[in-house]
Amino acid sequence: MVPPINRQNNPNSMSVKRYFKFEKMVCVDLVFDKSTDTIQSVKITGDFFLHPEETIDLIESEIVGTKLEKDLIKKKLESLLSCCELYGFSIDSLSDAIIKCKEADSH
Amino acid sequence: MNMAIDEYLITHITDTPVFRIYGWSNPCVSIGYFQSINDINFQKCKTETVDVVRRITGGGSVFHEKELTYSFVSRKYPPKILDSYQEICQIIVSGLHTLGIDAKFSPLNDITVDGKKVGGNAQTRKNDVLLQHGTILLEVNKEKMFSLLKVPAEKISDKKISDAKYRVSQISKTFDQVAESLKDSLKLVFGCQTVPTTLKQDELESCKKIAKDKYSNPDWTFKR
Repeated sequence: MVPPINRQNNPNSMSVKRYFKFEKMVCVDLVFDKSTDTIQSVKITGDFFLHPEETIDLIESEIVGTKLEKDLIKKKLESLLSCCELYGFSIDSLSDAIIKCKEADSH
Repeated sequence: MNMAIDEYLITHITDTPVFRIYGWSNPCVSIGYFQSINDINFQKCKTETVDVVRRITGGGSVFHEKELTYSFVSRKYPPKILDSYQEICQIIVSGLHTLGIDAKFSPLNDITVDGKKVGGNAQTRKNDVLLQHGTILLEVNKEKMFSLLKVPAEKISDKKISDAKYRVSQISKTFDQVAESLKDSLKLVFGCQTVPTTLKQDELESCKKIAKDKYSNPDWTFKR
C-alpha cells in the first residue's frame, strides 16, 4: 500500500482531483511534488473494469516516484497492465489524465 | 451475505455453471471494486438504513431495492470481455422478450428498453472462473435512488442528457415472473437442462464467515 503523504510537511506537495469521461468514468486523485515534478501518490477510482482487479493497487504503489512525463507514465502502465484485461479507459488516456491533473494545477 | 455467496461460488464452482437468482432482505447500495466510497452518499444511506457493500466486481454503484439480482458463475466463457457480457446478457434479453419486453443488450454492460437502462452487469474473473452479477429493475424510486448515488456531472453532460434520472426505467413485472422467464431463457440460450439447488448448511456457514470477515469489514467497504 502507498504510505499516506503528509502534505503539511511538504510545502511543494500539490493535490489535484479530476474526473475524466472515457468509455467509463475515471477519477484521478494526484499528489505530486511541484519542485521535482514527481508523483507522491495517486488514487484511480471509477466504474471501469480491470481483471485482475488487484492490479490497481499495484499501479498506485508502483507509480509513486515516477516523473510527471507522459512517456514515462505510459511505459510504467504498459508494463504493469501487460497481462490484464482492461475496459473503460486506455493506457494512453490514463497517462494523459494524470498529466492533465498536473496541468490543471498550473491553471 | 449476497456478495459472500457469490464469492463462495467462484471458489467452489465445478464444471457445471451456476445461475443464481436473488433479492435483498434490506435495501442496499453496492459499489464497484474501483469506486471511491465518496461516489455514493454514505451518510444518506446510514440515515435511510440502507446497507452499503463493496463488490468484488468493477462497474458503478447500484441501489438494490425492488429488483431481481442474478449471478452467473462459470469456468467456460468467452475470453473477450465484450463477448462474455453479450453472451450472458442474452439470457436476460431473451427472458424479457418472453414477457413481451423489447429489451436490448447495450454494450458494454447494460440492458435497455426504449433506450433507457433497466439493468446493469459487472464481472470479475478469478482463477479462470467468471462471475457476472446483474440486476433487473422491477420498480424504481428515482428520487431515492439518486439521493443515495452520486452521478458526476461529467457523466451526464457527455451523454447530453441534463437529468440522469431520465436514463433509468423499470420493467413493471413481479420478481417471480422475471425469475421464471430467466429459467426458461437459460434452457433456450444454452440448450441445457436446469437443476434447482440451494446451499447446504455447511456452505451457508462458509458464506456467513466470508460475509463477516470481508463484506461487513470497514477495511473492505472503505478500501477506496
